[in-house]
Amino acid sequence: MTTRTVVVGSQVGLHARPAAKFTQAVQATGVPVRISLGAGEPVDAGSVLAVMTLGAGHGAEVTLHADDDAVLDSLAALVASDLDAA
Amino acid sequence: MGEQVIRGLGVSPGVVCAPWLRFGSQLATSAQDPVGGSVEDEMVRVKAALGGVADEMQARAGRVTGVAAEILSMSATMARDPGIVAATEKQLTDGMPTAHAVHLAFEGVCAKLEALGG
Repeated sequence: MTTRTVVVGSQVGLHARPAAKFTQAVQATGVPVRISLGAGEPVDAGSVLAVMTLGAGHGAEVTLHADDDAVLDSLAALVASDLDAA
Repeated sequence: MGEQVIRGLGVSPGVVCAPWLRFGSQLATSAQDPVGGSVEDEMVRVKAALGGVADEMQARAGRVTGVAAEILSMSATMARDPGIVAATEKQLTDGMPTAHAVHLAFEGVCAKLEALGG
């Protein structure tokens, strides 16, 4: 299991539409991915409700956990971007 | 129409602004409701019910565009959420009646979101 730690780029945090876009991207990979906030317990990154209840605000540090480096890289870039801008 | 103050929790600005006329009648479930079949059988029913809700929301999303479509589409995603399915299965395994198990699964998420500030 490898990880990427990244700072949340969306202005509203990883919530609402940004959370939905992130979760859809996770589901599209077909790979099990987990996400944790700070030193917290990792939760299913494919569950929008689990991601929203993390409470990861703008600028928060989250860690992505998966077995696939390419998937981690693309998801980390997504989290770092402003997902509410599009 | 004259200016009007609407109180509440503001979400999705710019889509629609109107007074909320009524909620549907609340469905009450209880831990004392009759327990259904095996966890496996009940999970088939739960997934079918959640899928039905999600399908309807997705169909509604198809009739609008932009942010409104995104919100409905996301609501559909929430109905199918794997976290809800897992939490419901846990409640059923703990002996809860089926409808109440689903209710508790969603209430668990509501409590977490309320703790985050709504």
